Amino acid sequence: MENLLTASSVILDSLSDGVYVCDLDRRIVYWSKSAERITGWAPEDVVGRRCLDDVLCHIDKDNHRLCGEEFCPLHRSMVTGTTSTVPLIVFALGKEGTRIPMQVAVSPIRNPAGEVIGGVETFRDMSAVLADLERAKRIQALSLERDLPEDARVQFSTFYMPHDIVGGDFYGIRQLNADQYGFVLADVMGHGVAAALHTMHLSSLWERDCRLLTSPADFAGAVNHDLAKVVKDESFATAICGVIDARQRTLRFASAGGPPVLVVHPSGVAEPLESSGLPFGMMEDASYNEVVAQLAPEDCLLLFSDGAVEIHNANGEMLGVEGLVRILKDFGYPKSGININAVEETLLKFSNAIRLEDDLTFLEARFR
Amino acid sequence: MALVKSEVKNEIRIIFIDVLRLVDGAAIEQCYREIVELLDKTEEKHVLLHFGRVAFMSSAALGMLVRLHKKCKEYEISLKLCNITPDICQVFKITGLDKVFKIHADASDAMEAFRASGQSFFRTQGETRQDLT
Repeated sequence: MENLLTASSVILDSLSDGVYVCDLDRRIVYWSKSAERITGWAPEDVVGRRCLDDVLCHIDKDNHRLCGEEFCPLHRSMVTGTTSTVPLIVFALGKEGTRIPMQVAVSPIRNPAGEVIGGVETFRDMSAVLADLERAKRIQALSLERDLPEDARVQFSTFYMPHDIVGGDFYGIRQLNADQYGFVLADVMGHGVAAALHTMHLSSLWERDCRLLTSPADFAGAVNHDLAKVVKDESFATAICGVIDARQRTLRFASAGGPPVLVVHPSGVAEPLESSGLPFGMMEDASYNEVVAQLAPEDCLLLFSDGAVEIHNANGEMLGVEGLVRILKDFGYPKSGININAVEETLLKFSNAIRLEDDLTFLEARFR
Repeated sequence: MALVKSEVKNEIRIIFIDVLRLVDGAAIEQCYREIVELLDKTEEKHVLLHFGRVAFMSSAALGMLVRLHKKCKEYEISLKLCNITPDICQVFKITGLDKVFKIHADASDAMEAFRASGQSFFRTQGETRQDLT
């Protein structure tokens, strides 16, 4: 590693992007001039120390601590042997104590025999770009239901983890009358800014049409019809929409290509309720069917975006709904609630990726 | 590097999608462009999309297929799909797209279906069977 660095350091020190290199023990073995310029840390401050020894104190956009954890992109790169293909956003602690938003790329370093012997991270200051994205994030957050309905008979929870600063998932839960609650969980194709813009369309349609949810098929037809006019072949959203009756303990829903709805009994046994339907926005005149289910006391309804199941491991096997159910059961669900950080970490460990590749959203209704 | 390959067999344009993972936005868009270029030039009225190499497909690729479906309708081209993995077939089923696209297990099945529908077409137009040979 040392010989490699001696020959390359002249070039690495010339780059405008910061560069640092770690060995397999996550010990920093090289820190470039630009890394010092961006963060304020000089090579003598950091070289020889393990990056997880509270040196860089990286966190991600969701305030996950990255250093020393599974979420660390450089660690994931060395474990999976893969190079990041999309920019990642982390926040580093500069020497002055300020958080610096950075766009990073990571890659494993291999010896001539092809074995991973360390990792290299390049980064650049994203402060100027991020201010705008953070504003977009606040605007998007306003469109998501913040105050969930309260009812002694059913408890609603949501967990929302966008892949980027802004996300392509949208959800809503709204009281329709004394006993009924309408809901939608939609996943716009892709993620990032473009998908987020379409969630704002969905938000408008939700506000206009949520009262139609006493008939989920009518709601789905109305939203699809209008979204198709807006997106014009360029995009679409898979979704599940429906109505929960707290008095009768029933669920009626329509699918627009979304994943199955899980009914999880207190024993932990999970029954997927499947349906099919064209995603919103694909074809203007699509029609939808409804599925009705009767639930028992203490049953949980769990909806999720496909970011929770369309995850592939190193062998190409997809986690799928069964895999997600296994993970939740291992965590003691439904007796224990959803620990979203722990679930996310487990999904990441299963995947062959540096980080999860899609937005992640759960919507839960627990009957008492 | 081209992402699709094509050949004509029995007056059917077979387009092979030569991509293992159809998940990346740029690859999906390139795939779409290359297929549309072929559709623009093709004289055949039957087109078969062959998914034999595709092991993974993201939902974004579904959007691309729907666009192709609409393009084929515009060009009055009959479109079929074949050799789709069970996992990907499941995605078509959940999204209801199995009712939009004609999906066949393999190329010979699809080509037989084209042949049968082609004969039916000519029969309804009043032409005799021997006109087809």
